[in-house]
Amino acid sequence: MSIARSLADAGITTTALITVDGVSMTFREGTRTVHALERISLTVPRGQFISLLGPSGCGKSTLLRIVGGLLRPTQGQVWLEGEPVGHAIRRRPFGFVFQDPALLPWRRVLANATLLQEIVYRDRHDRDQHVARAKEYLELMGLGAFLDAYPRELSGGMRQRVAIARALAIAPQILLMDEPFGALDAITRDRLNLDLLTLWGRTGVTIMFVTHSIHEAAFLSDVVYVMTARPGRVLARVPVTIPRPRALDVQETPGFVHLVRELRGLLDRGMEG
Amino acid sequence: MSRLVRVWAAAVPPLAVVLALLAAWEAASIVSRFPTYVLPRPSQIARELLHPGSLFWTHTWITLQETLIGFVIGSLVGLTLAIAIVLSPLIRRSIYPLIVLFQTVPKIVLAPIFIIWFGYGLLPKEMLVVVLAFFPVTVDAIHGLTSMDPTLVDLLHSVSASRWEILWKIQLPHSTPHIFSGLKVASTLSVIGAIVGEWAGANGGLGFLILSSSAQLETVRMFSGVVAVSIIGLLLFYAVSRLEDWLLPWREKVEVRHPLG
Repeated sequence: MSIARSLADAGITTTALITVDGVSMTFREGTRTVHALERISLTVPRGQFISLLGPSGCGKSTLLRIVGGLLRPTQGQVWLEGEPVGHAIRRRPFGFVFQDPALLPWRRVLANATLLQEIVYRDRHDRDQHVARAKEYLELMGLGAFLDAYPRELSGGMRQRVAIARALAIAPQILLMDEPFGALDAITRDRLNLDLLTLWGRTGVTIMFVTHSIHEAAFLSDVVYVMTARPGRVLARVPVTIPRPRALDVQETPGFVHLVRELRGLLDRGMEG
Repeated sequence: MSRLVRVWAAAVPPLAVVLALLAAWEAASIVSRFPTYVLPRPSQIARELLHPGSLFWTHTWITLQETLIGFVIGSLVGLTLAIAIVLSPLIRRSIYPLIVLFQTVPKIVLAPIFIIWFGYGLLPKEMLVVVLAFFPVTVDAIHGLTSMDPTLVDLLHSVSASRWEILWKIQLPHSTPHIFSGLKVASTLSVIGAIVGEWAGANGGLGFLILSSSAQLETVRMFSGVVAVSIIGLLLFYAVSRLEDWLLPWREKVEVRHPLG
């Protein structure tokens, strides 16, 4: 069966950058089997900001890891513009940002931001170009004055900014973010959400964002996918129509409040199963 | 506070204690009138150490060589073993249990065997030092190489990093503080190895000097040998610590602070 045919059968058009097609995931823990994900299908159009919103343990991180090629699904397939994602990634990896910034403590900020480039472009290694690109994104993240600092000298929010610059420096088609601001305080988190939107606007990168914060999902996204608790299923696809650019005070508008209430209602329904 | 002042402030309290203890010892041996062959005075020991033309420095040089050469080779062997064990499951299953088993043998009993195998020169002592020094380096290096942040593993897999890239860019630098812990333990064991090696049979070195002085009731000389051995151990430990500070400026320094201070 051809790829286009199987996609058409799934009722999915090929204009999307990422297509998740009937993905299920089952883990075996000893004699017990855990159904983490059940028949997930969704699309991520190029240039959009998509969030996966769900309670802890709903498998949203697992889904992100499958999309990023770190896990192979038990069933189903993930496509990048009609190509199996596993192949596509080997040619040009995706950018990952996790909750833990995972910086190398022995490298200064600038050298941390070039790490992934050294690996991705190992065959056409060009140090000056790597440094230039890393610098560009670090400056975009407001870290221009901290290029020579060690990670231990930075705050949690600044470390996460380095992790974002590091991911963008490999020029990924899509940025996969797994609760990137989950460990930060609310004020830092607001600041980073704003800066992430600015960055997204400037670079045009596609973003897939996992969060369990309703406000965060509503504030950032073009589309929010609400997921149920185990097994993780897509409960609803909620388009966000709040106009951009969005400032923090958009959260007090009736439209935003209404959206938050809708998302909370869906989450509650998902928890009841 | 300038660097010099800080070093000075750190050095003064222990130095004061040492000087006070030496003064008490000196006074006690004068008052108690123990004969010199039982308890020599610190001033006598110092005179023996510093008196020109003594064979003392020749012996120190021999022991220093044994310690340093054995320590360097032992550390390299320990590190190589750790990398091999981490990289190859086959080696991990076949060789690692043997190393642990070997560690339970009191290594000191090997000294007379090494004398039979390698003669009376420096080699049997260096071998004993190697055998004593490699194990802590291996154990700590394995710990450092395998205790990787799982997020970092994911990150590297996401860009299809090779086994060598992971080892070279992540695991080895990550394990350096652990390796230095192992090196510090190994440095103190190295001095013990050299001395015990000399006790098993030698015609030079501080261990030989201490043993022969004991037989001749030359207690002053014996004590000066003990002092020299301690100084070698201290200097080696200090050198390893300074190397660590110099090579790992990124490391967060663990300082012992008073809980209320």
